[in-house]
Amino acid sequence: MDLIRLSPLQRVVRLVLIVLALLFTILPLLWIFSIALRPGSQAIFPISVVPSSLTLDNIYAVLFGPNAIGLTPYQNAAVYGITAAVTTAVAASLGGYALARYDLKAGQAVLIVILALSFLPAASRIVPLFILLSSSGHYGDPLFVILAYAAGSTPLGIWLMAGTFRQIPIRLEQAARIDGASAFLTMRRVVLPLAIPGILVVATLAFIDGWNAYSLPLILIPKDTAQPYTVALQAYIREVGFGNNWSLLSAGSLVGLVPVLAVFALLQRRLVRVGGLGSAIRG
Amino acid sequence: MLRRVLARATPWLLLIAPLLLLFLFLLLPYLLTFYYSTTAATIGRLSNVGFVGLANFEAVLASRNPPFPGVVIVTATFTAGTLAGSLVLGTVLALALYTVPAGRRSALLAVYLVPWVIAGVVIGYTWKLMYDPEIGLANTLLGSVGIGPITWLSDKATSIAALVTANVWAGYGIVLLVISAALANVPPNLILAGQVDGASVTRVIRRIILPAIRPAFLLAALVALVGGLNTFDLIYAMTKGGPLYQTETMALEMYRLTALKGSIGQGAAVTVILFSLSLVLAVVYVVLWRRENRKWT
Amino acid sequence: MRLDIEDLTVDYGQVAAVRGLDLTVGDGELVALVGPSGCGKTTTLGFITGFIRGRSGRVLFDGVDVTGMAPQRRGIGYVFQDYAIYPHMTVRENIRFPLDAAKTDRKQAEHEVDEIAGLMGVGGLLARRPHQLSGGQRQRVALARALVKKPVILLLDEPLSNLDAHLRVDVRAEIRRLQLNLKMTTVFVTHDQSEAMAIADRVAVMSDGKIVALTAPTTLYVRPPSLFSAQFIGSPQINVWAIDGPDGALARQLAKPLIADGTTGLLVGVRPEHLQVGGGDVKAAVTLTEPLGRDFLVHLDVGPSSIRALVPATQGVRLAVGEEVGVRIDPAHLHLFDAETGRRVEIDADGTRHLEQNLEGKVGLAS
Repeated sequence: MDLIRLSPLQRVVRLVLIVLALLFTILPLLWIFSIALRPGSQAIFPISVVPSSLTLDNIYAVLFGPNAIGLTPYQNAAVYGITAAVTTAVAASLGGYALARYDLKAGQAVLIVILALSFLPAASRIVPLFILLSSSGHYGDPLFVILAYAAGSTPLGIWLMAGTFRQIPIRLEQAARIDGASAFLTMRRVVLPLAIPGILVVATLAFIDGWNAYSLPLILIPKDTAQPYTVALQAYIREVGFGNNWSLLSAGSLVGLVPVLAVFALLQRRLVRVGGLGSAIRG
Repeated sequence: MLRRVLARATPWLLLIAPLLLLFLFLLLPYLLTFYYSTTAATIGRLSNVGFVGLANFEAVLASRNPPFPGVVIVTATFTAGTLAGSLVLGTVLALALYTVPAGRRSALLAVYLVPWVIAGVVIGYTWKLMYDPEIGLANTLLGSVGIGPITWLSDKATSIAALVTANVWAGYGIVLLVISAALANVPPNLILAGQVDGASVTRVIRRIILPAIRPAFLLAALVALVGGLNTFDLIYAMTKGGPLYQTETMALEMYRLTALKGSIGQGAAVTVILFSLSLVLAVVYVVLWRRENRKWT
Repeated sequence: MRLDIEDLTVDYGQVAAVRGLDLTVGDGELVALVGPSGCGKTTTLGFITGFIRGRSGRVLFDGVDVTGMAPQRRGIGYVFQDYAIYPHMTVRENIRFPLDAAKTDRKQAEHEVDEIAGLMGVGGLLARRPHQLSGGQRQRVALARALVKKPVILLLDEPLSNLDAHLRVDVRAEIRRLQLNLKMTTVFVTHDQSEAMAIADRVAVMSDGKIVALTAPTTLYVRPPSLFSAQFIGSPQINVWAIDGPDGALARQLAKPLIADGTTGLLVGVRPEHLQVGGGDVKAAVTLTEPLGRDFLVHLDVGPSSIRALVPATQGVRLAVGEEVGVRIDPAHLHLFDAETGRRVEIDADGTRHLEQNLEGKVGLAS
């Protein structure tokens, strides 16, 4: 049974809205993809979304050609993403559990301030981090840049994990303790398995943030060391429009998109179900 | 006795690692920022800097190049545009999807959400190309109906609108997601009752559905607001705040003053202003979150 | 295993949830803790498990103080109201969990799981996930998980309240049979007085954080030691009239043989099933008849007072609203309570009042 019966006119309006939004969302991506996948000679003209011929030449050129940024920036981005995901998942789980299961008024207040800080763009931490890292001798060490991103993803992660843990009945933990399980075994066998959906969401969000890292490594990581693809792609940008190497820039962007899209595709059902930030609403 | 002490300490033991991470990489940098906002520090001179009180704030407010009110106007326009755009698009689309069967709906939601996972800087490059006056898709499409060519990113009249469009493209998916989740939680009986009482579809939407999702709507608005206020990567990749500061938001000004101009103190002052605005939003966010939480438990 | 709770007081913030509670459960005995919600039943169970700390109080297993022992080391079997079955584990993994926690040898553990699952009639469900089970099946799995480690004490927290009405009686009997076979010391918490009466060796009626009656089910019904327990036990609820209030006339008339004319400060209680309608010198008007199946519940008015009486259906169908009938009571079924303390009162032939002093329904001398 339909909850709401739409008139034929309303159905048409609905269809038009959905299709227009789809075009708005997909068209820029399709265009970039098609520039990336067509021969360089056709990169600019003719201007069309559908390429007349397909080729992987640009992808090859980005990774292995004479002007290539190579595989390394992507490997770096992967290290950024994965390390940030693991760090955030661990920190958010610990913090979320403490917040969900204990009455910590002070902790909540502190977290509100920290949450506000995490809203600020990563770029606003460039200078203080530069000062901190260079005075402690860690300037240029990607681990510390990664931890900075993980710290940015952790506050929201803690909120999401606190919500996840609150949904796990405390009775299950009590049951496990009565069944003779230690605190550690209760965590490992009962609580964490049930928290996996939430942990995956938090880890995914942190992975995306880490993989997409731009402003901090731009300044804090010296050129040609551990810079991720987002920074490396600047090699194809000139200040004046025609100077840009759109073919390679698009191809490089496309390569950078594949992993996030893959992770997203794997988890989109869960993300959509948890409602992303919406899960924060439902606690 | 030991057990009791251990039991009281447990939550704080759990919090050691996350608090350490947050302190070192989030809190400490901003504490430093607060400190530097009252000093005359520059990129070349970081130690033994003199205390200057609120002079940096005064300098920022009195700055002529560009005038600070101009930056505020750009920030406000960009933020308001992002807010209005993503909210209208997200809400209208969520309502349109509401009557779509759940399976197809979540597949569509995933597609609409794709831009949200793309790096801000890549979005910036993409839209920079979209807006290219000669070869961009925007002018090509408009040209086919006889309009154009428009110099989107350099023209004062269009540059902010162009940036807002790109930012809405990047972020409306999350608004859509939040509102869709809230819509799915509206009790079906409420909607059935409204229809039994003889209300039309538009009336049911206006009088029953929209009031029911109001808190989620506010939350989505907040997410969009924070997103607008703190956008950096995207604008930096597209215009770097230019030309002639006409797209310079506070986030960009902060970066320009510190990293480019080297005036750590003044950059820190802008950061403090930006943080204060974000803190207000965060508090509202948490209050709303709490209220929603109570409703669902 | 014998269970003792001594002088337990538990606070929730400003409010005392349990106040000075003492309870002994003998080896192999089943004691039902019954009372309205919020009376402290589940808090008491929580103290036995070790999850709830008391302001004062000790818990002893066979005389050994285990108050400070961690919950996981107490060896208790516990069935939660909502069963608390681990949703991500199969039935087999659920039942095996306590054995895994005790690091039992895997082969031995599997053997014991099969054995207890067979005993509980869930042997065919071992590969299933909890969400594939019916309420009754979950209940059995929870019980199997509680019993598989051969607990020293079994605690059941409202184990029947999430079951369909028709299942409850069956499962209740099954739990009792199992408990008797295993001679398992058991505490059974419920808010349903009939459940408590049916299953327990002794029933502890709790009110406001205290045990107000602790005695065998039949004694509780026949000689309730306090007004609260009289009102809590038995359905439909007992009629109670104060001899000093507007109901005084009716109360004195019904209790005439026991109460001398100058007596004050008493409440008179009569269970609906002990009132005889028809023949009797108290004249009452029928205001409503409710068919309950075998019986009819008849509502009657006598002046300003009302009476609930249970009559056989054959008689009930013949009663008409507005009809005037006589009402009578066998004095043996009268209950008297002190109006101030609510304690049971017995009156000797010479008119001396004896106030019930303890929880077991044995009457001591009035002070």
